[in-house]
Amino acid sequence: MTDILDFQAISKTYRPPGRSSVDALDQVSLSVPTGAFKVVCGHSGSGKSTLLLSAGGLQKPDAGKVLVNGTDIYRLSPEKRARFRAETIGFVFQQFHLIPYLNILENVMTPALALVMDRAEVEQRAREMIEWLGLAHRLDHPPSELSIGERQRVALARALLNQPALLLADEPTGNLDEQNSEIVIRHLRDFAARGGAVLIATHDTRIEADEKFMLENGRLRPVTS
Amino acid sequence: MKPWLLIKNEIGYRKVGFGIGLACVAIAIGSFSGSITVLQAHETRTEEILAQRERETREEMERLENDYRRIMRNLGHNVMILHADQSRAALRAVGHPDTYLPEEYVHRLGRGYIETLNHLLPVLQERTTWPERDLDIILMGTPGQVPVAHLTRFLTEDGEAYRNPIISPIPEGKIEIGHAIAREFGLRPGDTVTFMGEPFEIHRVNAAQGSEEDIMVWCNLDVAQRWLDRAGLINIIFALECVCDIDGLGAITEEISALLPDVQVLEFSSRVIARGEARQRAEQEARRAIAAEIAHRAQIGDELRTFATVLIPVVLLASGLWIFFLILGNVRERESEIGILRAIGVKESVIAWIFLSKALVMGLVGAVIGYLIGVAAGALRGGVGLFDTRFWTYFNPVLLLISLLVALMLCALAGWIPAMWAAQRDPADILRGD
Repeated sequence: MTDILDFQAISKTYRPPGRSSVDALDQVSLSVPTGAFKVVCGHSGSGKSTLLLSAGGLQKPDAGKVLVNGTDIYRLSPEKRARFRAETIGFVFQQFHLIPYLNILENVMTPALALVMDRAEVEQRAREMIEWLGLAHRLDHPPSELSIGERQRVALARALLNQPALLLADEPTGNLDEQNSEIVIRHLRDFAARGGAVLIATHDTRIEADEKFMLENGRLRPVTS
Repeated sequence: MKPWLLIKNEIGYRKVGFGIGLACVAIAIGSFSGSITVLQAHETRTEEILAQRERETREEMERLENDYRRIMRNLGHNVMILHADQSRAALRAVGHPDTYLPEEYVHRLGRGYIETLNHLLPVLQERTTWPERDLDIILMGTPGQVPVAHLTRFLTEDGEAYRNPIISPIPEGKIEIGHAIAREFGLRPGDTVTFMGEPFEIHRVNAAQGSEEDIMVWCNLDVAQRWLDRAGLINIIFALECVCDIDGLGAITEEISALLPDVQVLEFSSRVIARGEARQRAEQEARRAIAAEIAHRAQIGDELRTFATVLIPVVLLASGLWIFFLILGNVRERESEIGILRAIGVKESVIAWIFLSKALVMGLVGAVIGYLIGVAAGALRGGVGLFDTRFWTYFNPVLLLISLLVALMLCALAGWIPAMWAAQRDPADILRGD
């Protein structure tokens, strides 16, 4: 299997002014191949978000390489990296980050802002995505009229619109009840099963995965069940 | 999907903030276009007022013309009495009579109870040279106004003089000089000059007339008679404001000839001249009033311009700052949106454009609102009513275009820094908060 994401000895240290430095990532290596569904667990502040942001090309590590689909993403210019991110990586966050003044369909279509795409095709894909996530009846609703679980499903649909190779999910079930968590995890698994690569950062140790890791003091160690 | 959808929907979603921004731009552009319109209206109104004044002056002049014709019909004649042998051609050629009358003639007329006569002024007038100044002059000797017997109510008790003569005698030891003489020698009232060997004080310098009067020297009749060696003689008797009907010159001549058989009577200073002078004076007054009006309007215009040059920059600056803080607040409010847009690969330039475009939309709409309100208020302030046909002429496309450009520049400048700040926000900082 081809590695979609390949973390090679990544280190990241935060040096807040006037305070002692924090090693968020220390020589972390990790690979996520096609079809893989991997989970990194850890407590709050353990560096999970830093791991995902670095994987997504949003936070440059101090040392090490991040290869996505074989491309060292931090060697790309910011413009090219943004385009690469739009084409290859999808994000899901705990807080959903839905745009409040767009309806569900429009929210799902926002990744099209980053790429030149046919509007009809984008809309068609967005509708299919929304239907797949069971929200077809909510197309023209604003996010404020949706339940928490529904909002996370919309965020998931948005992350998948550009058919990314890699999906990065930061605490995707952090705000959800058990039922909604199951729905979201099921769809993430589904995505992986269709050939995508999924990396989840969470404090929820109950999530079943192909491979699980624990992030502590910046170091990643495999968790055996 | 286009960024325009985000701009449009966000404006609809945050109506209050956008409305406040719109009001800021509208106030700024309203002040700008309003001030310009007030100035335009002021200038137009000034032109109208001046045209009105010109019209009124013309009408007034026509009315005065008619009034003077009517009034002059009732005015007296000014005549001069000369020797019967005096040739008019010689009078014109020499500039003064070259035949003489006995001084006694004027007293005879005065005592003669001719009721048409009012004011009698005997004169000895000759062209001569002021030897000490080597200057050609016209010497005018007169004893002043000679009493007319039937005007007892104006005379002193002994009947020898007027209580308030319209022409006073030149005091002893004094002379009056014309304007040209005074100017040539720099003479002023009170100066002492030597005239034909005698010292004289200058009693008065007569105002410029643009005629031979400017080279005249007025003195007492006795002095003139002595200098000119014309003892007991005069050569003109002026009879002023002789009262008679419009065709009465013949009657005056007849009455005078009855007393002085060897004289002729000529009219001078015609009614046309008198009327012209009066009209000219009235016209000068009218012109002075118009000039005062122009100065007054110009002063108001200057005050308005000064006010506008202070008001416009202050309002633009204040509005610009307000818009800057509004957009800055909007950026902070939309951090989550900025974070996710950056995460999904939207370029920094697109994010900057989204914020800047909103500011420009605010500028465009605010400019149109401000322009309409400003121009309407300016026109009303300038005295042009809402139902006045000229009201709509103030809405001109050039001012609209300038207003739009000013508003766009204002909003672009105010929105630039917040938009750049939004574009350069680190998405990791925003999204790590999760």
